[in-house]
Amino acid sequence: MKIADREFHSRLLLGTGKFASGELMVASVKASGTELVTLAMRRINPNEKTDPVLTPLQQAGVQLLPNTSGARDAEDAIFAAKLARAATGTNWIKLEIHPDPRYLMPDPIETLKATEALVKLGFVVMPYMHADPVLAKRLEEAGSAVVMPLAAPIGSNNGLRTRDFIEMIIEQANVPVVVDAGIGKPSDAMQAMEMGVDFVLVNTAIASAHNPVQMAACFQEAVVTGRRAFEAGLGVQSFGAAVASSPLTSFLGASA
Amino acid sequence: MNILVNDVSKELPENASLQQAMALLALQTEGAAVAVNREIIHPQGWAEFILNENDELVVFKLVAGG
Repeated sequence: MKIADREFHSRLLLGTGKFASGELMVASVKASGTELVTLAMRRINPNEKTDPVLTPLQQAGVQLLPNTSGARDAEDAIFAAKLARAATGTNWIKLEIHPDPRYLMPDPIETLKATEALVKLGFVVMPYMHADPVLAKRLEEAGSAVVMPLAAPIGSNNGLRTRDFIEMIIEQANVPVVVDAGIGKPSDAMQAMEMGVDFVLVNTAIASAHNPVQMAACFQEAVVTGRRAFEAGLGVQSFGAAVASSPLTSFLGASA
Repeated sequence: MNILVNDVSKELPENASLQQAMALLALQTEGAAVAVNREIIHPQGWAEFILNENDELVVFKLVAGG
């Protein structure tokens, strides 16, 4: 499966935040089988030393996807994207604009404006967005490489709350659909993949697990199984009356 | 000369380059990006970029994030 010009073998993308240590984060990245991980850019405190994250992730062989988290409008996000490009050399950017720190809902208007500008600047733009099928089309038309609808609020682990709208986005999309934010359990990721989502991005559900490395491996299996189920073609759901799986004749009666 | 690094005042020798400033101030360069007076200076250009009195540096770095 491709995003822009890059072929991916894993459909699981990982966020690197909230892990108890850098070592645990890198071990979880490896256990997940992911090939694409997100990072953030932050102003440093010049009097404080922090552990570097870049080298261990590069040694793990994964591609870096810097995000613009913390940006409150398109201007902030464009500046953050340029900084990330200077720091990493990559023109891939996960576009996140959330002016409201309480719910961290993505701003649709600023996200569209920033996508248009960043595409013109040569970025591969992966915009985080609400599960809004109209906005998804507009972002795709603006040149985004994927669309990234949220399943539930960031970090909530609440699962596929926006399922109906994600289905509409999948039906209409001509770019990969990445479900981002809110995936709380491997079964949520599997359900998303069964629906036909192309990728899922998981962070909190793994980082906050009792055993993040084991949970990362569980997510990998769930994503693979969900995709295989989608490709196998799910059976038709029936509502109301039951539909017998066995021949409808009485057990000892005449044959049909 | 005096410059501001992420709003913290720092002393540097006259005509220090951005690369020298990063080293003298012991700022981590791995995964770092720097803007001087809000203009982003690419790491390849740090050695040639000479700082001036009262320049405002904003130094960012990559951190773990979702």
